[in-house]
Amino acid sequence: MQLLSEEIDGNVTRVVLVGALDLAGAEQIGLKLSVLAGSRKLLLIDMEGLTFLSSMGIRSLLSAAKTLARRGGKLILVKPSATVHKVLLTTGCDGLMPIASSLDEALGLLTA
Amino acid sequence: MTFRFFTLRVDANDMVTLDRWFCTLVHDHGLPVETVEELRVCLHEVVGNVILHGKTWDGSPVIKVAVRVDVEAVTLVVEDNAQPFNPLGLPEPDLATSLDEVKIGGLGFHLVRSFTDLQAYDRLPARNRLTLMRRRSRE
Repeated sequence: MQLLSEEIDGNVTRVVLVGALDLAGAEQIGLKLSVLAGSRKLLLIDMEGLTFLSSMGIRSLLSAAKTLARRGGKLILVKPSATVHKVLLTTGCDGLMPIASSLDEALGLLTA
Repeated sequence: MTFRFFTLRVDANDMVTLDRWFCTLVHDHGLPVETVEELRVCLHEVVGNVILHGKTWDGSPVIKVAVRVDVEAVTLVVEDNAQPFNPLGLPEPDLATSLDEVKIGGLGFHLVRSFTDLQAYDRLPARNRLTLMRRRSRE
């Protein structure tokens, strides 16, 4: 599981997740994601390279989203695969972390 | 088809090997991608839960997974030798909340219930056994 991040327009941090966000994946990236959530305001989680998501991964994402919300920030999920999207819908996470189907849409939601 | 078995150490890294074994096994049966992916989630949730929460073990910690694919259903059986734990007793999480109120946790078995049609728990001598079944009529 890899987490890469870059700053893009207008104060937005794009976090790219690559691999499986399962138990081991969550252990690998949890701290890094937590640090980003505690230090940035607008996080765009690019899920295009995410091949798998389990509840352990959802914990890491929700924890980051909660941290950001407490600080007045936002987190948007972008381009999950069909299966990852279904996991997010089944767990009700789409109501807690907005899901965008493109980077442009996500940037629009983040900066609105 | 008979059950095929896999035994893993209680180790998050062994999940990779389990995952590959499972995917190869079900791929050979031509199951649709959606079915395979949802069952992978269930396997990760159940086995991951044992790895995370298993505290006392009868002997060396071990988890055994059995899979059977037949015309009507896919059956997964997960056995472990950890302390007694029945996940069917877990309450359904409250999903429609805000970020302020959401409790992080409890989603794993909700996914298992959503992606399978039957779940059964048995406590055997020094072992937990969880059986999950997903009907192929969902395909």
